[in-house]
Amino acid sequence: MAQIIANGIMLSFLFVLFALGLSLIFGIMRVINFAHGEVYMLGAYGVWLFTDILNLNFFLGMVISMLAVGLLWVILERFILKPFRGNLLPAAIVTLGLLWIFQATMLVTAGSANKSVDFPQIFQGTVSLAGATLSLERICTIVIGVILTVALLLFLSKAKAGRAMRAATQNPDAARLMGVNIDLMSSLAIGISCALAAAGGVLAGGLFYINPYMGGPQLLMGFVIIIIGGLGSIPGTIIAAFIVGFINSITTSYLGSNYAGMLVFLAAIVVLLIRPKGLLGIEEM
Amino acid sequence: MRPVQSGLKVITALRFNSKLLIAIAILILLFLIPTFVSSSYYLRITINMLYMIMLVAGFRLALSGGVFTMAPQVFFGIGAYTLALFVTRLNWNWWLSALLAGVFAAASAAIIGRILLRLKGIFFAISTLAFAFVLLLIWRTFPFFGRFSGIFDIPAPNTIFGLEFGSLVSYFYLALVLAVITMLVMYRIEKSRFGFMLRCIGLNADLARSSGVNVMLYSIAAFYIGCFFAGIAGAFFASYQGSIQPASFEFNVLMLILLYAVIGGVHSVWGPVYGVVIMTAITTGLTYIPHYDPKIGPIILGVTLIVVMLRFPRGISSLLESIPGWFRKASRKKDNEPYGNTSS
Repeated sequence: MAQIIANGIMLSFLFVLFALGLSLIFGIMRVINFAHGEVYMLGAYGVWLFTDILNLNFFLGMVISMLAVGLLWVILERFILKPFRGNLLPAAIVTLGLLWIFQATMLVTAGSANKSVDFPQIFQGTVSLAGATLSLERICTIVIGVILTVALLLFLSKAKAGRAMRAATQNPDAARLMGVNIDLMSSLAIGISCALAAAGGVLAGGLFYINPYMGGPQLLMGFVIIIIGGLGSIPGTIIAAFIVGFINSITTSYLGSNYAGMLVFLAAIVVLLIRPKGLLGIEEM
Repeated sequence: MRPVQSGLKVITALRFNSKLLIAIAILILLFLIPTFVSSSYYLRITINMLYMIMLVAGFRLALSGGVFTMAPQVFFGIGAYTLALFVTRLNWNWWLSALLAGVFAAASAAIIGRILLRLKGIFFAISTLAFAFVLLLIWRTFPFFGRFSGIFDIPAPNTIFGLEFGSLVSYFYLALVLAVITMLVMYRIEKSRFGFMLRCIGLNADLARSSGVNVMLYSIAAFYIGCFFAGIAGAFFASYQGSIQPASFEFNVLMLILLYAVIGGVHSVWGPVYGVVIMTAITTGLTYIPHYDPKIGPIILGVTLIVVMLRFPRGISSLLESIPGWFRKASRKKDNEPYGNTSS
């Protein structure tokens, strides 16, 4: 039981890192990034490149990977996504094109074989905690997840740029009149979101396998989280990520992972039927 | 009216209706394809194009009413699985099962649409994507659907009106007839009041609703008709391939449908035809490049998709349809948003 809870918390933080970015990008740019799963995949390949090929430290590799992926997406936003801001369907098609490009690029350059990266030596053992054996890797993942989530929440609530970003989410026109630079905020939001998703990918790469298709299931879970939590709501996203994470860990250990996907989708349908805007959503979807 | 008079009327109508003449000429040419395309490779490519046109046309019909579905590939799959199960397990007549495949796909579309269409545009799209994933999971998990290996030994259509099926050429004619029927229905819908209502909803759903249009009814109807044709295409596909696996209805099929629809142009009823023909020509042409690696195909297609979205958001059909205007002095410029008013 404690095992399932620990797994649930770990999965939930991977989902939080992923879905917060999706929600943030939507909030400011009114764009749904269908290539967000590929951001996650690119992050994992980044850390594989830096640790397995270039022999850097895992955490250094993680930071470089986050920065590189974030920067790549800031550039992509400037040149490709900017004309489609606020225009949801064309933006969806363009990001689907990006998804295709990134997946095929990784397939050609790195091959379809599974890759794996290891956490540093000191995190390779297990500990016994309340009757469950937990690997240190998983605890390390949870700790990093907590640090990054809290850092993002503090940034959004305390820092000037973060408050400007929230203002831009609530009302872009009013925020612009108050002197908020929307273009800059969009770049910042997509950079932060993609760096967070990349961090999720790095951690998932350390725990599971890395392959060009790893982004797909994560993207689906991200969408379900957004539907359940309500789009654009940060607390809603976090709560929904925990719900989905626990459904996943409980169903996977009792029934199998295929049933987890079905159950999570059912949960989303039930939420839609009862409350179409999601648990804490402000805006009608 | 006497028969001679009405006959004359048809002839004069034909004489003045050059468009109809061109359409009939193209149709005759299409029916003659097997006489001058003897290689089975090209015949197979043509058959693929024909059932893809059915899928894309159904997708575009829904999109013209602002219903952006991301599950056409699984409705295609529902059709294929329905036919395969009824024909192999219950030994039903092929034609009846094919009709049932379409009806079944449409009925599931109506149910899913009723639940999910309360979401606007992109959120509907996301939830249909989730639905698609769940259906794929079900097909992969339960032995009833044959799991990963799918269903085998799906027979060819029964003999009907003395026509026998089973050869590649017979499949070509079947696909051609189905695709032509699909396009005729799409054309009729486009010209009808229903099509007009759909375009109104696609442009501005709120305005349409406040003008008394039953948005939900029309949206579901468009989704329903599109999925019916996807189901029929799936039934054809199951028999044509002889076996079906969940892998035939994965995400990459959706990507192809989207690519064809966008490149053809979603505001034109003929867009799907242009998109499928042109993109198939390009992808087939690419394979003739020496040392071409099929893995980089998606990169080229993805770049094409993005460039078309940035430069020609109205697709190839807008370019083709502007050609007659080059010869006239002042052509009327039709200008509306190709994807409707989707900003929230």
